[in-house]
Amino acid sequence: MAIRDLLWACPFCRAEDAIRTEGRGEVCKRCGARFRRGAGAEIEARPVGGQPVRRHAAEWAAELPPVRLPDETEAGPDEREYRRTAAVARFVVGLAPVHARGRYLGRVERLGPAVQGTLVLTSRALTFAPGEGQAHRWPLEAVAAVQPSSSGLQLRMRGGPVVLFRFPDASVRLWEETIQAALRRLYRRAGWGEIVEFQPRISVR
Amino acid sequence: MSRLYRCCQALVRAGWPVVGGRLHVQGMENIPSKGPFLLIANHQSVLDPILIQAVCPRVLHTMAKSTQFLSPPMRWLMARLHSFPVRRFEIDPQAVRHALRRLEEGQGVGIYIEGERSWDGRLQAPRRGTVRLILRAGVPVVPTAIAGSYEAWPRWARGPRRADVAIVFGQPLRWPAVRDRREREALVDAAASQLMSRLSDLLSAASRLRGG
Repeated sequence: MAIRDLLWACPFCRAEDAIRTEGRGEVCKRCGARFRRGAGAEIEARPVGGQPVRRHAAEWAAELPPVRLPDETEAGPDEREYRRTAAVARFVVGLAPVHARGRYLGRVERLGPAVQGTLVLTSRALTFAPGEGQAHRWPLEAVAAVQPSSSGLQLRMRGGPVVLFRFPDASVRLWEETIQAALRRLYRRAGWGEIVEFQPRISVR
Repeated sequence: MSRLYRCCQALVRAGWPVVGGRLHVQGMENIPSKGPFLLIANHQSVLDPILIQAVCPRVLHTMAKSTQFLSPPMRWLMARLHSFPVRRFEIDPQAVRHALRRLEEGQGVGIYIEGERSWDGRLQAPRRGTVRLILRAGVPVVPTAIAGSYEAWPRWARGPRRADVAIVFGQPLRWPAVRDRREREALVDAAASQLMSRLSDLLSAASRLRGG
């Protein structure tokens, strides 16, 4: 986890997904502002040539603009790219039982090997293109659940796999919010209702 | 209560003031001395279950995300500390069954109603599935607020730092068990609102208690 997971846009230049880890802190690649953890849950931000600003994480987060998707006309025939980043995917290959003192507690995921590639979200689909091999493309209507995990995003596809994505450079929170915004737009336009929950499965009102 | 559970409790209670900070606890009398109960807490940090289980006078069977059970050592430890897994990306009937069985046995079950750690420390929306479970179980619900753990180890930080933490156990709330699914569904919003309002008040009390 990193500060960019919370602050997915630079509070100074508003650039999305531009904060990267550098040394012991993080830096905005657009304007050069530097970020590091201050006391407790404070984040200290230092704009280029400016004085450091220390604020509680909640105050910084409150200033973030809402995640917006590019405008599209209702009848737009083209597939529009919303977001793209390097990602590491691990597919759930099965479930393993958990027991304690002879008592069955439940089943947990068994994860396959980590696969590096590129994750692309468009107005119609989510595509993971591994460095080698065939790309996986899931239409947005196939996404059944969106669940942030400790350091990644877990997605379940209808009749398909569960995939855990980690983002070496990008903000988990930004990806979560962007995918959710894309799904809300899809459901609204299709007349399927307003999404009220994204996990354990997408449910609408 | 197993020996390992007791050892871990003692270790955390003795160790937290050394490595973490002061640990303020209020409302211990609100934990039922016997019989089933659901402890419903807010979730600010990975430290929450460790600290709440350390100070809770009764064993808590805590619902934990299944990915915490992935490595064999963690699976062994979590299971012996009475945690049980829930797969969050799908409806997990076994997790619900396990919780209800422990309650039927007269034990305590702990659930973090927001379903995940808060990014910014503020209270998030409740998971409707947890509210459905509350309405199905019909046992006393102890709303519990933890404050300060976000300052110790927020979700976006790489490691913990020293911070005072306060835990406040609120007076139990009660909803009768609702067997009919449709009837239960009709009560979900009102119950969630009542519970979250109570948690919000307790969180303010916990923040004051730790001097924040």
